[in-house]
Amino acid sequence: MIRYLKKTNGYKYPGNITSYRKRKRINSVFCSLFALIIGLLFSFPFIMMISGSFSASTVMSDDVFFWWPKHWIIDNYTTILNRSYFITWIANSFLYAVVPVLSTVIISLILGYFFEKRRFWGRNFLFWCFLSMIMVPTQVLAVPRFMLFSKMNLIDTYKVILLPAIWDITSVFFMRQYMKGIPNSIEEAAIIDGCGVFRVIFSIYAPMCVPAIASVAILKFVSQWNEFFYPLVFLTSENKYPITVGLSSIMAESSSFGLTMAGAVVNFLPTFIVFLCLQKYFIEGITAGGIKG
Amino acid sequence: MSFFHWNYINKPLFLGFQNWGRIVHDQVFLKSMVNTGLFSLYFVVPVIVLGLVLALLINSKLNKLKFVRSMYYLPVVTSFVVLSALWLWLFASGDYGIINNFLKLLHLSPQPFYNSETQALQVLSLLSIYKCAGTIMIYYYAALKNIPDTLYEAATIDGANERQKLMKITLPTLQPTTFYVLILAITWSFQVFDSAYLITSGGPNNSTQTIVYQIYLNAFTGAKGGYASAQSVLLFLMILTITLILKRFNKNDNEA
Repeated sequence: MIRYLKKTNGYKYPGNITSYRKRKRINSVFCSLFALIIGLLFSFPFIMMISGSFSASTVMSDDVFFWWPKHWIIDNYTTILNRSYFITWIANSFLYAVVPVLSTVIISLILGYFFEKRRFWGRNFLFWCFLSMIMVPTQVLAVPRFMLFSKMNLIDTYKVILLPAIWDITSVFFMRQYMKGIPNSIEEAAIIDGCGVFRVIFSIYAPMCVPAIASVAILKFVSQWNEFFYPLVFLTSENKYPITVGLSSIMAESSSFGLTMAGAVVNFLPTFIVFLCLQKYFIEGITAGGIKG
Repeated sequence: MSFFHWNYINKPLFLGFQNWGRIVHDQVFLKSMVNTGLFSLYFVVPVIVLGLVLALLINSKLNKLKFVRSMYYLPVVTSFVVLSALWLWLFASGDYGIINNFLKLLHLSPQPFYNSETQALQVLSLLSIYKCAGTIMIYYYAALKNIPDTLYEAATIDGANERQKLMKITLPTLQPTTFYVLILAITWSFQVFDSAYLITSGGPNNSTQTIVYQIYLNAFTGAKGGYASAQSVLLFLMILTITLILKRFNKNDNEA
């Protein structure tokens, strides 16, 4: 058998095994190097952002490396944290991100359970109605939502950001998909032991769905944190802005390079930390929730 | 609401098809439609190709540096606002932008970027490519993981080289993913707003006006609710039609 394998290798790569390995190693180094160069190109803006936030330069200069600080200072951060509303913006952003995460997880667990494990009249039809709503882009909904919310006198309140974000269909779909993999017998045993519907969902299914919950929560957190269009349109008073809109107003009013970069770093940091700690779930979430949609 | 005139204060006034007729004569909106089309042209194919290349890179056994995956994915979790701030300084026009400084270092002439009608849109699409390539990479990566190794082993025994394996095994098996990603990318390109608003605010000379930006201007700064509704409906219909047409093509492909 071994002799056969060697033979096929020898057939494919004229020459002996050592030269084959050598060539493979050269290919590997070349490939890794290429990947690294693209990686550096991708991270260059971030390097520029972080180093720039510590630099003193307020205006652009024609020095190629003006974004690399000659003296590392933290003045930009102290200035920006002392700016009026900046702390409020961060707090708002957390509010706009954390509340929808909690509600989305709970609602998608409940709806996912009902759509997957219970049979009721019109279930599939209702689910397909929900799914077709994914097709409608959020910006298309902005105008009708604006009309509705201005009728309800909700414009420029916290509720106007929180209400539309309270749940989303993708999460329900993802949760349903995940629950498909859990056998019904567990639930049946629990019901025989006297579990109610909500106990079944939260004490039986929730612990088994932890990976799905994590993915849903993380994707929701990032998308809420990065949301820009809705807050821009629906909020008018500065003390209700999330950090994204706040940063855009800093960009508009100051032309200081270091200051803008410091704001960008603060805006970027929470999602970056979440991403670094929970990378695995990101990838799972995107692939499992998306491919079959 | 697309059949009404409404400024959010008075009672809505029924207009029939007047809002729809106005779209046809609105030069700026027509231009924004052309721009959105151009944007798709600059965006869709490059982002898919780049995403595929990145996926092949992180999936390849030859590549020993696994951490580059996070580098590629980083822009996806970053907000458009942050990226726009970075882009604004990277591609600043004149003698002072960072990219222009590098160009000078290489003895190339500095580019006008945001001040030029043709380049502004291209720079914006570059931003979107940068942000979205990571997502597409992950889709392709998941699909690549699903290709059974036995296919490649069989090909190796049959004496196929790496290029043949790529062309005859990898790319055909990725075809459903490509279809899905294509729809996704087109939908994204029709929704571009943040970067156009933050970096160029539609200028120079309306060359970066996009459909969503027009909707924003009409609905929220111009208080023309009915007209903006008509534009929203039109945008939705456009996305829907393109998706359906693509679906049709895909079906024909599978039958053939």
